[in-house]
Amino acid sequence: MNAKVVACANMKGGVGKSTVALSFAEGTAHLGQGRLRVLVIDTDLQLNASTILVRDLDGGEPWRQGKTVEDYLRQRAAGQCPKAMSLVHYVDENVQLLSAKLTLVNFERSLLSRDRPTTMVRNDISAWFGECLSQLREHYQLIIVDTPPGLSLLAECALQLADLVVIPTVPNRLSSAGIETYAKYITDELGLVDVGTKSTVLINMKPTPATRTSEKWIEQIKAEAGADSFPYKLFDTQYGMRDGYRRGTEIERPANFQRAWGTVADPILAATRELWSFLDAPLHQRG
Amino acid sequence: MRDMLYALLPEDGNYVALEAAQIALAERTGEEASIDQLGQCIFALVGQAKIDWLPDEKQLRRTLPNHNRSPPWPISCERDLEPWLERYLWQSARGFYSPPPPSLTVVVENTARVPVGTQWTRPDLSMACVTRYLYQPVPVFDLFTFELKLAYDCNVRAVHESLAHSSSANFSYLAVYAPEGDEASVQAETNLPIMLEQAGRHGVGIIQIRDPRRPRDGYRRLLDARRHAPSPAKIDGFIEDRFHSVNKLALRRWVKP
Repeated sequence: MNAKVVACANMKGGVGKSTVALSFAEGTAHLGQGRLRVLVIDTDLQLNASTILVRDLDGGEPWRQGKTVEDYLRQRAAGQCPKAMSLVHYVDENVQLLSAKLTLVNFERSLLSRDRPTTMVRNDISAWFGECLSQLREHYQLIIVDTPPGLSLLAECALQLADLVVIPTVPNRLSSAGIETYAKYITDELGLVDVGTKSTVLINMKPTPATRTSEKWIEQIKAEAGADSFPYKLFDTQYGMRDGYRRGTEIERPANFQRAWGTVADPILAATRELWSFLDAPLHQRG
Repeated sequence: MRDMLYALLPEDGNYVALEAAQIALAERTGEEASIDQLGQCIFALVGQAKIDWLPDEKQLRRTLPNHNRSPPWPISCERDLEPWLERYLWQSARGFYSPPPPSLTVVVENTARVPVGTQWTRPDLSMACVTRYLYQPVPVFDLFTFELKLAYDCNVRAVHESLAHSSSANFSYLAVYAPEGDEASVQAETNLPIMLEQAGRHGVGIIQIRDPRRPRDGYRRLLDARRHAPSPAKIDGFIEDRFHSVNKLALRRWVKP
């Protein structure tokens, strides 16, 4: 196995990064009919993806047991050679989790000093996280990194290391402007000029007046796809009914895919198929 | 600056220390690049899969198709051990001084396959250290050499091979990989007393490697090397022949009072 790494990222919050990450994980597991293994790496301090996947374990949550991506990085920073697989939380046969932890930001800050400015610390984290991913790639077909809003050093490293970046967005004025800011930051500040070509935008939420979303902004996002400055691609599928997705992430496991996601199952599966085509890896040939 | 940084890295994929790259870049551009600027260039170049950054060693190199990001494991030959020992040296160079100097600058170079010299004059790794002390008017330069051996090659001959390197280095070490419970390690243990006796007599240091992945407790210095004083011209010649130009440039800068 040599997993593809997908980062779900957007500087703006509330656009559905965790929902999209989880829906791709569940969608891939379902379409793989038991043959595909997916790992979700949560790097968001809100622990949304982790909480949804772990459910109530009465104190046995991976972030309480020292089984998180931060624990890997801490051990690596201390000169040890941690085994990434030993930190993975087993959700079920096909979907597994490397959880986040609330103190991730403190860890990043603790590495900073006068001799080690942010840019150098980011390079160290990138190398350590790269090593972690290369260990994990052996065990999965797909690794999805759910990043926090606003970005963090680890999230920036995820963008750098990912094979594909999925940018969930909402079709309203602020979110559309947000993509522009995000693109500017990635290309100008981070110098990651190639990220544009490996980015795909997924429009989340049906346009309704209540959410200040509209067809106009969908058209604008479509019109800007492929621009020289940030030549992202666009998912044909749009995620439309917000409540359905929320129910999908809240239903108790175990549940089969259709039961968990209900009426939104079809767009999820369609988007998952598209995801694999963006990865140049047809689903039926994997596993 | 990004392109210049890439251009100065060795085409054969050898490593260059961050500080050495910073100095070489300043020579090319005529102005000092801050570590922050350099860090930004590294991040962008890693993102383009053009270079690798080694956080433990603080080194960078061009990415070549056959490169692995992590050192090989498990160890099957001496060559597999080289990157592990290199990592250890970068992290533990201070430990070779007692007490540790107030300021230390290090360059570790893999000299195993440099096409100069014979088996007896070609150490696997070399480490150049420049130390500065509060009341010493000039920096002190020390060249360390390291000969790597697997347990089954652990004998008096290996000590003498390491000793041969002291003709052009200040400190010569023999590093023996002897994992616990290994049959060859048991045999190596029986050779150890005579090796320690010979090494002690000739001032060769011995490092025992139990687990190369653990820089804190996987390496044990059984015997510290004594300082040798080869002719400075010999040391000059050694560095000139075997160190990369970027590292040489940095060393020349560091040894200036």
